[in-house]
Amino acid sequence: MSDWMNFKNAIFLVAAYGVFWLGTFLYVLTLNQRQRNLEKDLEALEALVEKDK
Amino acid sequence: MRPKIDVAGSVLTIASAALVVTALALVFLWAPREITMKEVQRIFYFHVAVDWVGFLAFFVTLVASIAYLRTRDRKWDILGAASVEIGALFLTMGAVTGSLWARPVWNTWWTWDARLTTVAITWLVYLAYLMLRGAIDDPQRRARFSAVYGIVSFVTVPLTFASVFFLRTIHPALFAASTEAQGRMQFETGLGSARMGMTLMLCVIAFTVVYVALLRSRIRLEQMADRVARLQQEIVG
Repeated sequence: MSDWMNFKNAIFLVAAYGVFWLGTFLYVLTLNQRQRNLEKDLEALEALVEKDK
Repeated sequence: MRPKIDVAGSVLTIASAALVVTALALVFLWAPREITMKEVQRIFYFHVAVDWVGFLAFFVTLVASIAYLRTRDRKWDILGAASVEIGALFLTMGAVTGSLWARPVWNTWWTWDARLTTVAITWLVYLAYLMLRGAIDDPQRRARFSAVYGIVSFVTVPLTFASVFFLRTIHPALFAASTEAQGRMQFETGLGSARMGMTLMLCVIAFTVVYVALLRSRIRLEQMADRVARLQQEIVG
């Protein structure tokens, strides 16, 4: 296999591993964002409940 | 009030990171180079591992769905939904990494081969599961429908797994009593096969731990959403 083919194949290899890291990173980021939003909602709602008592 | 430290969560996160880094080191530094495909064959380690997690996640949903229909306990509904979300993510990554492997090896990004077609069907079926959940407002109805769908849709998983044995396919069969043409790989060292197997095994273990860590986070998120919904009801009621 020529050097050029090896280099081309290496790009596919890097891209495939990049997909895993990017996919996992974006999912974890989404989870964090959702958690932050829920924490904000929870805080606001708990404050409302306290005020009502 | 100071937030409680999540010890189990931290341990899982550290273990996941350590295992994935070790798996990467084995893939690139220890596993032998396959003679025919050369470096691009190394995609296979992560490709198989992410697909394994996808199918494991759907199996967990199957078990959770059966448990929900038996007990009507919300925790099983949460587990099933969380697991499908992660399974769909991993199956997507499996399809993309597979496509990146296929381009240099098969000279095409995609072909309507039996294995690829059954994977595509599985992927669409579980995306529909997530859409179904988003379309039903009543929590009990949503949980019941999702549980039934989660059981029925699992049919696609063994079908995908078995497609390489019973249908004509060019996809390599990892666990088959393979012929030369089907999936047997050749190595540049005598220890190649054992090293490949051990590397793949570690990748599978590493990704399974990553799945457990993500699943735990996703379940906690859903529990938090439940608390928010309860408080909203309390205020409105």
